[in-house]
Amino acid sequence: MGQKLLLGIVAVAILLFIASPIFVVLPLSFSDARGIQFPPEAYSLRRFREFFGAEDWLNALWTSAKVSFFAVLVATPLGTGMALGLVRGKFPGKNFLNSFVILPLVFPTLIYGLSLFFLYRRIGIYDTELGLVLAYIVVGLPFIVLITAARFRSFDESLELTAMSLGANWWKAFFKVTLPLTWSGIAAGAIIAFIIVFDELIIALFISRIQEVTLPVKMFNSLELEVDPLLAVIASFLIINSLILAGLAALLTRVRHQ
Amino acid sequence: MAGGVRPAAVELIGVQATAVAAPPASRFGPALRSLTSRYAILAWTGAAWLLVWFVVPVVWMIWELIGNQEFQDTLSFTGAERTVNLRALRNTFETSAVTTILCLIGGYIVAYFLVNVGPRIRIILMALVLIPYWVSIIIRTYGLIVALGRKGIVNEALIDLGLISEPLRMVFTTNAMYLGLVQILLPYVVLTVYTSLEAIDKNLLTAARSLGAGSWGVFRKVTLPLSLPGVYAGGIIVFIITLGAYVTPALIGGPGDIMIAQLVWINVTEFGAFGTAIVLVLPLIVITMVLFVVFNRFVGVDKMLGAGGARERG
Repeated sequence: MGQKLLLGIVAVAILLFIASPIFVVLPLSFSDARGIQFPPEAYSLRRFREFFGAEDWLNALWTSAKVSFFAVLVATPLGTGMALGLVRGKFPGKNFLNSFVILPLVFPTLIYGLSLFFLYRRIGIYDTELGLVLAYIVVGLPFIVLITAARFRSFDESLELTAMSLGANWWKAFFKVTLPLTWSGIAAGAIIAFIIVFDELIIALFISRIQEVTLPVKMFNSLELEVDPLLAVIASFLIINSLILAGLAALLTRVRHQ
Repeated sequence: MAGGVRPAAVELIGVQATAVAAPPASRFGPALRSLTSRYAILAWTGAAWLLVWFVVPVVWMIWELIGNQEFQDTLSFTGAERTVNLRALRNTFETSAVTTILCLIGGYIVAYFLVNVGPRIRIILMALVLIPYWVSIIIRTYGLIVALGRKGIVNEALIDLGLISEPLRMVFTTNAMYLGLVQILLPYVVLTVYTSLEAIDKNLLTAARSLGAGSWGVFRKVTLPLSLPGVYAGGIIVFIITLGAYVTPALIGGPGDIMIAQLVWINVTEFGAFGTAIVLVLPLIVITMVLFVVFNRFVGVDKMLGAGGARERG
């Protein structure tokens, strides 16, 4: 019993340590002080008002949102198709593709960013939104494939086959039967890809430094110079956003249509 | 009834697949047909995208830079520059190894506790693992900077307790960097190890106990060996990610902690020394690919998917 108690204390201490930055950042954003002091002495919404009046930060937020949205828009059908092919198909190279699709997940993003830096300067899309979207399709794709593949694996294929035996062609069977029964998995994949892409920093550092600055790049730049108190507000805003989206994705993966 | 429907439907697909593929040369018929089936095309379309926008840029960069004169020059460096490069390489491996070990120890303790605790407490504790997992790395590093700063919560607490009189300098040190890396990467180990621990058949533990093993014996002879796939998976993921880590070492590491990623960044953005950058990048690529192949071979893609899938459960 004593052993278990000790284990519990150590485990909880480690967990509190992992979660501590969030407990620091959230109260700090409501601080009334000019500098950084934790815990804050007085609370107000002053910093939130400052954030929504700061045009450069709002521009960065808008760039990030736009770029992530379009990347996910392309990556979702592409990834869903790939997942369907990998789950259902039997063809040469399938095992290879199963591993290949997760390579972007583990490959150092620094190297990928560097390679895009060279390529984009050569083909003239350096520091553009298009360049960011193209890179983020690659970043988001593995997540969409993994999550939708899990949903397709648990989907009863015989439903689709039944529709086809009743005269529907493959496309009709897919859009009328399979898609309505698996959309929640696809939506969860898209949301998760959005969170990942929205938070991406390193690739953006290489390919969008001047004209098109994303929110993570702007945060990183300001952290490198000095610790701006306004950052706490942006951080809190992003924490809340991520958690809402992640919660939504978690709910969607639990939706059971059958 | 469904069973009766199935053969007809399968036949229908068979007919369709033939109609779609219908290769002229029938010698390679079956292979060609399977390669051009609808599902194969869907899967290869996604793969083709990755090939064009992921593999091609990386390969092209390597190709381009290896032919560069500057690359040859960098290889023949002898003086201070060589020392800097080698030191960054050594630092990177050292940091990755230490971070991996720390994450494995901490992550295993947490995962083991999570498996052995009641469902209600488990949900709360799991939230403490998953919530940070969803928050961006910059924000978590920022939180750590604030906590460890001169007026941060740690210094204030130490002063209040009377342990120190002057605030300690904690940001921009090697230890701060390790704290930051472990904080960010520990959830990966918790999730992979938790998955393998949860899959262990509880009857095995009961059997071991009934054969006279103590709790330490059960752990060492049964639980630990059976959870090793999760340990390997988590360890490799953490090691690979730390190899390419940039944000945390750059923001809170000490001046002596410069790693490959930072050196590449400095060489590219400040000196425009691309040849040097590629010398540093090549070992990183080779090691990552080797670990990736080893991982696929011995642990299996599914375990890795366990880590990715964990985000899905998040």
